[in-house]
Formats: sequence, structure tokens, C-alpha cells
Amino acid sequence: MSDTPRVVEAGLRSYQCAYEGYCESPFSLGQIVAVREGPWPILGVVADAASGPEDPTRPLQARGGAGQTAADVMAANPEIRLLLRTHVTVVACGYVEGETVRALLPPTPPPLLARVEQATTAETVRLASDGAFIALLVRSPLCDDSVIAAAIRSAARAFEAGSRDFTVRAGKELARLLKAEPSRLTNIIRGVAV
Amino acid sequence: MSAAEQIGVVVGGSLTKSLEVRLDPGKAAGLGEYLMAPLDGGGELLGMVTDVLLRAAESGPTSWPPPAGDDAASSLLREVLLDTGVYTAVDVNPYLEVHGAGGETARARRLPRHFAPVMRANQEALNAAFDTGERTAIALGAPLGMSDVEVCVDIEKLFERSAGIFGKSGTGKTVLAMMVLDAMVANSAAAATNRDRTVALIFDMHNDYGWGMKFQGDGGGERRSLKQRHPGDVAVYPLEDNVAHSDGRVVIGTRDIEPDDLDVLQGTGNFTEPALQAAHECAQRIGRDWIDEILADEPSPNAVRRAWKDGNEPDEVSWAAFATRIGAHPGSFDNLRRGLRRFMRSNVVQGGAGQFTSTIEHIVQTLQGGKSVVIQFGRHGSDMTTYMLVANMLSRRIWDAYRDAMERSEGDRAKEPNRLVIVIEEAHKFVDKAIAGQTIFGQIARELRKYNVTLLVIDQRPSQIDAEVLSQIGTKFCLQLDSEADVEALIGGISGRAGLRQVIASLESKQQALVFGHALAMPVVIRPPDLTRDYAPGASLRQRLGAETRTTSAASPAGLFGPRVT
Repeated sequence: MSDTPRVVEAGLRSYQCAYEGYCESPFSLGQIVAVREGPWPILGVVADAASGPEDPTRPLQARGGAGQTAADVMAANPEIRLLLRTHVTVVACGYVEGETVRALLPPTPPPLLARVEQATTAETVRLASDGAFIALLVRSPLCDDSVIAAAIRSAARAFEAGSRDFTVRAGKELARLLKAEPSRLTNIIRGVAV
Repeated sequence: MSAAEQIGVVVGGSLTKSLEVRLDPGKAAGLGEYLMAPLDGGGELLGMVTDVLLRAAESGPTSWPPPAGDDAASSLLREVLLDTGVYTAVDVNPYLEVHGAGGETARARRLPRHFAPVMRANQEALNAAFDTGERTAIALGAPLGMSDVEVCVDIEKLFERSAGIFGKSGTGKTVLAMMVLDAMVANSAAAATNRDRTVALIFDMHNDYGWGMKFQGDGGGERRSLKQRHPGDVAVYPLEDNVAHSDGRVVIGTRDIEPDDLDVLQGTGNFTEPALQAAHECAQRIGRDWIDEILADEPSPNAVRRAWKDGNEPDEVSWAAFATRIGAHPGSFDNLRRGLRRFMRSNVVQGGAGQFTSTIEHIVQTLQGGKSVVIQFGRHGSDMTTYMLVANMLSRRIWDAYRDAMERSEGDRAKEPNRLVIVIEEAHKFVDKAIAGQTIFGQIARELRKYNVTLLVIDQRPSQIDAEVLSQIGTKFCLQLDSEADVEALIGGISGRAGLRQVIASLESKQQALVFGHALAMPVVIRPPDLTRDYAPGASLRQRLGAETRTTSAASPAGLFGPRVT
């Protein structure tokens, strides 16, 4: 079974991708991912991830005896894994045009069934360096404070030694965007500074 | 104009009030510093920082400030909000439009556009602003926060109108005055003819401007003063006898004192107005000996005869009867006699005729011969009444001599007397609102350069000076002042005075002065050079800093002074 999710629902502002089955360690919250198929690679931030039965009319029963871990139950019931899916919601926050990474909505949605991969360090740095990508996250109804904080944390890791400077720069961009919402800014900054 | 470091951008303002400049992150500008911004169509606007503002982009950050803790979130939040949610701005009073070295300089009539970059003014811009062309200049010192830049003022322009040095006690008025006078004497010494020399008549209350000055700044001790620095160009006339390094002595005889000389003393409380009226009456009736006569125990036959010209005098005449006879109240007459006796107890006033007239002639000759004169009061300096009497008597007579010389010249500049600057301390006592109209100093200030005589007033209470006189003071050096009334008196009527008020309020207690007025294109806060033991007017600030040669002629590297036009 492939561990690379594919686009299953696509829009300009966000898309959903799904693993072939149940994935215990999908993309993490705030992680920057890329769809490299189609006319332009599209970069996005993971806003949500959910796992559950593929058929919503057949809810998962809470199996397993006392003392059994989830891995024990899965090993004892291998058919269950085939009935489960992991879905990831990604908010688009940029695309690559030639050599330039633009922190804007992509002109077209990503192709369905295109593979979704982790963005490279270089892509992340080019997307995030001026902090402009944060504006798309702040405006997206899919991104709450935790997503934004996680995205900044995730991007900061790509800057390595310069992560503190990036964090401050991103925070200042956030402060400009949320100038009328000091409590929200405080919440996000607390999430970033973890 | 050479590239300068940007420190902010224009975000608003008004030509008549001030320009608001938002500072770039990490940049700072202090009160009194000069900034410049490019104008559309060429040129730069030059202005002075008159206020520093802490602004908030929205009310949020100030209503809900970040926590004060040292934890990561708090410190990050503070760092994030600085220069975004909250920021620093400065108010800049727009003063001049400058067009580079050698270009035109004009009063500001335009503003830069929004978001125009704002730079710290450089020497080139300040040279253009304070350019004195080919005329001689004094280096006043460095503008605040710009220790590698110096501001020069045209020495002729400085003294062509009256000037004033104001500041509360201990702020350095005397040191600043000494430096300015020192430069003036040194400049005059280089003049080709006596006619071209500007000279000073200094009423030296505390023996500061003669041989040596008691220095209260760093290092203390004594500093060489004018006579010691320029022995051939300064004459000292003490009021005390046996004073070393003097060129004569001022002694006043009772016959030399005219009632008009006493008018200025009304403000000191020693003489009431009716007493001064009685003095005029006595002088008119008795003649030049009036003081000796009325200080006698009893009226002399001469005094009685002059009071009762009809010959009907009583057998016994008391001073009370004499006073009544001449139309004065006996109490006022007593007040006059008490005041005059006080003079007699000092050595300054002696009975009969002193050598006052010849001393005056000598002083006038000395002044018109191109030498400055210091009237040194010594221990009499603490006696305000004596100081005022002597200053008033000398000034009146010397002013008369200059006025006569000026009128005799009939407009022929070659025959006009040289320029005289009368230096008085505690000036508000002489040009007080109540008596300014009666004193010679009020007249000199009002008539300005008509007779080539101007004032350099040194005072700590400018609000007490008559407003009309104060308005005639061309260039003002303002050291620290606490009283709002004093500050208002100095800057009232000046455009951008609200900002200047802030600047004055922020001056340090020593060695900082706001200089503005006739001789300067725009106000400047300066830190005057240190009065070190080896201070010399030829050592400019730039030389001491080891800086490169200047690009303009405002102050040549060879000394404090630029070239002189002959």
C-alpha cells in the first residue's frame, strides 16, 4: 500500500487528499506540502487530518480486549485496515511559476489523484521567507489559530539557524494582519513559541 | 547631495505645524536632531526633531499589552509588536529647503510626499543651511546627536542686532558668553581698520570676563578670560582700586550723577517713584551739587536760597520743610537721601567731581579705537544697585557719544563709529516691563543698529524683560529654563513654537543650548565646545575631532573663522 496520499477533492483555496488506507502517521498539522503535477506545483499547509471508515454508514466498532493496544487489535483484525481511510485537508498558500514561488492562490486547482508530497526545505524557505503566505492562512475559514501557529513552527524549522529571525518576521506579518485582533494574535504567538 | 542613511518615512504632517516621520525598525532620532527628506522637483526639506512619539497602529496592543514575563511567548510577542502594532515616530518642524552645497536655501514652503524616505541630515546639508558664504563665522558647536558635524554662525550677522543668552542659574550662560565674546574679539583683532572692529562694553558683574574666569565645569579652577587671551585688544576698568591688569578705574563723583541716572534704580526698591521725582526737582533747583547738598545734616544756605528764591525762607529750615517747599513729600525725600547715602558708603561714588568724565572719554576712545572694555565690578558685583547705576551711567554717556558720532558722520560709512555691543548681566533689571521705556537699554534695543550700538543681554528671567525689548533681540541662545513663562517669552510668535518648547524643556542643565533667530537660518540645538584650559577660538570642533577638511567656507580648517572680505 502506497504511503503517498493523492488529491481526492480539489479547489483553488483548498483540497483534500487521502491515503490509500488508514495511515497512522499522516502529514502533521501545519506541515507544508506540495503537489508537483499539473501546470504548476502548488504549495499548501495541512489544516486538518481525519481517519475513519470509508463508508460512513458503517461506523467502526470499538473492538479489542482489555490490555490490547490499537496495534494489537489491528494485527488481530487485518480486514479492518482495508475499510478505513485517512483524509488530509490542505489549504493552498502558494504556487511555483518558473523559478518563482508566489504566495498567492494557484490559478487552477491541483489535478485530482495527483500525489501530495512533503515540500522540500528549499521550497519552504522560498515560500515562507517574506511571511506573505500567512495572509492566505489568516483569511481561510479552514485555518484556526492552531493551524497558523503550527504552519509558522513548521516553516521555521526549514530556516535552521535563522529560525528565530523568521519567526519574528512571520509574527510581525501576523501582527499587521491581526492589528484589530490582539487576543487572536496573542493566541497564535503562544502557539508559535511552544 | 551625498547618500545618507535612511531612518524612516514621512507618514503625515503639516507645513505650519510639523511633519510626522515613522522611524524604521531599530532606528532612533532625538530631540534637536536634524533630518532631511527629498522634495518633489528637487531639493531637500531640512527640519528639526521637536518631539518623539510612541504610537500604536491600533488600540489593541496598548489596551492589551503583552505580558512582562521572560518566557518565550511573552518575549516573542513583544518583539513581534514592536515596529508593527506599536512604533516610534518623530515630529519634525520643517524649516528650510536646501539644494545642496552652493545651491539656494529658502524657508520651507513645500512638504515631501507620503512615504518619502527620511535621512539624518549630513554636514553637506547643514553647510548649505548655515552657509555664511565668504563672511567670517563662529563655530557654535555640534548639533545634538551629530558630534561630527558643526554649526557656524555669521559673526557680523550675530551682532548686527541685539542678541541674548538666557538660561537659569548654573547652565553655562557666562561660559557661552565668554566663548562668543572671545571669538568676537579675536575676529575684530584681524580687522584691517578700527572702523571694521566690533567691540564690546562688558559690565562684568562677577569678574568673569576680565583676566580670569572662575570655572565651575569639569576640572574646575580658573580659565583665561578676555584680557589674558587678547591683552592688546581688551581693556579692563575695575570699580575697586589696586586691581592688577587694569587700564584705569571707574570712580563716580556725586556731581557726575544726574537724576536720569537714578531712574533705572526704581525697580531695585531703593528709590520710590516720588523719591526720584524729588531728585529731579533737587537737581533742577540746586544744580550739579545737588547730591552733596542734600546729604548734609541740614540744608545749607545755598540750598535754602535756591528753594526760597523769593527770600521768604523761615529762620529754621529743616529737610522736611525743604522737601515741602520743592513739592516733595518729606517721606519720599528721606527715601531719596537714604538711597544716596547707601552709594556714599561704597567706594564707587565719592563726593564732589570724580574723574568720571575723563574716564568716559577714555573708554569711548578705547572702544572707538577698536578695543573692547570690561567694567569689572569686583566685590560691588553683588550690589545690584551699584551695578545698575554704573551700567546705566556709562551706557547712557557712551550711547550719547556713539549717537553724536553717528549723526556727525551724516551717512558717510567711513566716518561712522565701529559697532559696539553692550553686554549686561541680569538684564531683566534694566529692561523690566515697568522701566524699559525709561532706561537707555530699552532705547538701544528698540533703535537697533541705527547708531551702531546693540546689546548682548545675559539673563535668567526673560519673562521679566519688556516684551517690546525682547522682540527686538535678534539672535537668542536659550539654555535650560524651567519656567513656562520664561520659555514662552522667548519663543512666542515663532512658527513651530510648540515643538521648540519641547526642545527647550529637554535641554540638559549644562552645555546645551537652543540657538535661533536673526543670525541663523533655522533653530539649532548645540553642544558648545568644552572650555578647556587650552581652549582657543581658533580650534574648531572638527579639528579637535581630527575630521577631514570642510567642504565649505563656513569655518575653515585653519581656524574658527572663515576668510574675511576686505
